[in-house]
Amino acid sequence: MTKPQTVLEMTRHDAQALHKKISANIAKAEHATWADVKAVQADITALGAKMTLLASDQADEVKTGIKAAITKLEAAGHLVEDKTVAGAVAAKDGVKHAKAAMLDSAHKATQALSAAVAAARTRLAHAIAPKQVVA
Amino acid sequence: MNTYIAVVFSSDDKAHKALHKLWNMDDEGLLTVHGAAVVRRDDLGHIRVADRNSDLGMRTAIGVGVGALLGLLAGPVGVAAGVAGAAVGATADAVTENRRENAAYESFFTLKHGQSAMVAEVSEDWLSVLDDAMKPLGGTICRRMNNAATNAAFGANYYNGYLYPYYYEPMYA
Repeated sequence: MTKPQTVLEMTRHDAQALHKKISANIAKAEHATWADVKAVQADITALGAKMTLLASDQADEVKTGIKAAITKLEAAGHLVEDKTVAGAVAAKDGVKHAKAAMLDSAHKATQALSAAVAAARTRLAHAIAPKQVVA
Repeated sequence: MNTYIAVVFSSDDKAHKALHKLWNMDDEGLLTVHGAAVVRRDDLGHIRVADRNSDLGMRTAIGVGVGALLGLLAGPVGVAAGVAGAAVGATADAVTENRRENAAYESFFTLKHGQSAMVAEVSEDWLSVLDDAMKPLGGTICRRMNNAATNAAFGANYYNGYLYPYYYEPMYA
């Protein structure tokens, strides 16, 4: 539905799409595997790289939020399968926890990018707002 | 200005249209939506989140978080009327304490049996933009400021992940 216009908005759109993808995957957790987790991790890493590029241009408050989200994304991107865990139930739990961590990181990324988009729009709104005439 | 909003409608269909409209406004850059969801109160008085079709397994987790948010928006009257959610009792006290501070912008709502509401966290530069957009749909808008005092009532991550950060097709249970 989103029609991205700026690089910032396009990156936000990527984060929203990633959140949607992970959320949908969680709903079918019964059949999820580590292969599914690894497939999403590539998207997470790509989003983290885009956000790192964007962070430098943001105001300090927004930058802090983006950096925190990047840290979360990096942690989720490095989640690895614990081969020592035995049993189908334990393996399924591992996948479930990995997906929850990825969803949380995608949510943080979306929040941080939404805050950056809002700040940019507010700056624009102030710039084009009618100025008060001083007598 | 960052606000939590609830727009109350007489039907699910109108709440869905409002959700669609809200995200369209985000697309146009008129405001920024950080997260939104549709909730409804059934004839038995239970409030439920209209989840995404594919998210059936997440219903409980989402419901508790939105219950806390509804407690914030509904205020003591709405809570007394039966808003669901574990954190609502504590919220009502905090709402009372913070009420005077933000009274100029804020109002509270009560979701009656059979009514639906769109709840959202947004950033808006002009309140009239959203007000004007929701008026043709017949919705009543309630706002609470999103600030440290308000959020302190919930602690960290009180609704983290509970509002969808993108448009979705709501499913009504």
